[in-house]
Amino acid sequence: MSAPVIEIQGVTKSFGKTFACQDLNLSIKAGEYVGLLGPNGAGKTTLVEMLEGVQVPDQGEIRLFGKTWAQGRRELQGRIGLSFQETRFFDKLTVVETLKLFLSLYSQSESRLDEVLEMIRLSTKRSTYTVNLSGGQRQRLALGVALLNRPEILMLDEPTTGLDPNSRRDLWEVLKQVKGQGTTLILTTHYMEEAETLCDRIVFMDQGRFLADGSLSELISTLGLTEVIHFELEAPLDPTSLPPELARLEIELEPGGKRGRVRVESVIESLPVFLNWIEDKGHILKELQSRRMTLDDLFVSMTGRALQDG
Amino acid sequence: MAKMLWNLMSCQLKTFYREPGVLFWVFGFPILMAWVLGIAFSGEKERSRGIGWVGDPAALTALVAEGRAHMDGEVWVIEAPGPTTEHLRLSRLNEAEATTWLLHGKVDLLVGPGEGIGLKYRFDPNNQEAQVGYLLLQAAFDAPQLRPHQVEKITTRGGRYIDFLVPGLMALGIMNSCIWGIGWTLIEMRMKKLLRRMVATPMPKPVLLAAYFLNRLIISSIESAVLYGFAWAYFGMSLQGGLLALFGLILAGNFAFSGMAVLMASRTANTTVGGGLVNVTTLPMMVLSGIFFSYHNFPQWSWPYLSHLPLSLLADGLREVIHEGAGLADMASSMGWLALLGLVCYALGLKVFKWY
Repeated sequence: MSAPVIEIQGVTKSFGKTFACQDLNLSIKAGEYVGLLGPNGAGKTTLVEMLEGVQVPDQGEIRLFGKTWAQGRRELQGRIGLSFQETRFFDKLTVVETLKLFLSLYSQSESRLDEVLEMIRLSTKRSTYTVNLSGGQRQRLALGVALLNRPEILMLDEPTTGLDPNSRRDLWEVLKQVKGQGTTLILTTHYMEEAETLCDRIVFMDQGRFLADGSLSELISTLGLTEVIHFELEAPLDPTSLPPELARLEIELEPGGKRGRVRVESVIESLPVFLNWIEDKGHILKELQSRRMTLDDLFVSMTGRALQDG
Repeated sequence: MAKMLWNLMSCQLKTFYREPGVLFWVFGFPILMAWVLGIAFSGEKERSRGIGWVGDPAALTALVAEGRAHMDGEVWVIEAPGPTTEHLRLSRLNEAEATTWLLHGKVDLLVGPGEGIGLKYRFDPNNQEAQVGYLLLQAAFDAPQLRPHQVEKITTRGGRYIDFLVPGLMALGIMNSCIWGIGWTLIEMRMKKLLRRMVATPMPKPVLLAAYFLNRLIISSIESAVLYGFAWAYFGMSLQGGLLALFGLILAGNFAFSGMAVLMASRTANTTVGGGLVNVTTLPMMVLSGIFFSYHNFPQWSWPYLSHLPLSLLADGLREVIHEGAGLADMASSMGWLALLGLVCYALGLKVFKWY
């Protein structure tokens, strides 16, 4: 079993009276892609800032490759890659000039340049000023800068926030390519789809604490309910009148009682029962959808709030 | 429609008054500038003009005897007739002093007994302050024997207004180059998270600042050389002092102003506040440091303070090197002050600097 490259032990960080992170413990092995998910204010960015050595924990310890930031700042800076939400570079430098500048800061040879340009799919934009790049291209350039030093750990803080779906998928493709090279990824995101697509392991965070940690299938199986039925009726539903076959399941009604969702183990088994009951009660169904549970459903079931809630 | 208009105006007003920096620039700064310039150039009570008297002071002694002038220490003060009270301050100078004082802007007009009868006035006709002084003095010296006079236009190198102006502009260029080129840029980099991204690499932080300093040194040296070259070619200005002293001053000036820029940018989070800080740093010095007009226009008690402003030290130093032939040793004090200021600013700035 490979040794962990990131160890977070009993880490607490507060700003004034507000706890941003409380007693966090996590161990990440080389090559793992870990998604850190949580709503705004969950403490994700503070944790990433502590991981990148910008913030110092009030209590506890963070070790990267067995070293704290105090023990080997320069070495660690050379072994990790970083990208933030909406990084902007020197407006009037071209893509190539920007990459060359950062190559020199990492003391890397320029032979890496074309490789990275190819990887981030900006070869055709090599002579374009960074100010003239689109949002997605700019974020790919930021990712390229993060990849210049062949990082063993890549930390991306909400790299696709604000990007359109196509730009987001372009960035995912680059990250999938990097995965094959054994890089460890820490990705903070609001987007469950992003974490589901890219990450082997999901860590839920809320109010400065880790709520859950595991693969997507592991996390969903902890609830025992893997599928969801969404419905909308013409008249409000009385949940106390549910048949015994459905009464043990989780029904969530939205305010007004007409719209809601039911989490079930199997849609094939539960849907006919649900539909018969609706019909018996004389309800008229306006809309019906069923799907597998997502990370967002899981987060809602744990906290009562959606991932993208502020 | 009216509600829409009112709401739009109300929102714009809120965004305006909720930004204290903007409030200062809109209301505070113009008042401050008006006050400072008002002290320098106007005032209902009195106005002082610096004039050098060269030669026998008999004419002045006569005015004192008539009660139309008095002595204030070593200086004669003449009340010139006119709608406002103009105090003409005449300092007795020898020829060598007269040249130096003219160069430093301490006086802009020289007067003294003429050849034969009357007075001889010497000044640069392009200097309006000197023109006014000349007219006022003529009115003050209304004795028949003093009315005939001759005017000698100062067009020799070193004594013209352009000779005063060019070194000042060189100093101003160095200050602006550092404050905008380093201070503003650092603030902008912090806003863009570029600063955080750069210091996340193994690059030692002093290398970044050293790059900015050297960059500004090169740019401002070229800028100064171009300006001086133009003044040399077009106005016939020539360097009397040593190149080493000139470069030493430029180096010390860059060090001082780059330190101020780092201190100014050390915690500033956005360019709105940054713009205010840049202006608060540069504009008062532009007015008070004798760039476009001598700081000797301000009250005499302020001269020792104004002469030690970094921009004054640099501008005065450049004037001495270019026009008076000052060498490296003569500039040691000015360079020392500038270096000390730079050192203090760098130390304070880096102590509190917010890299992320």
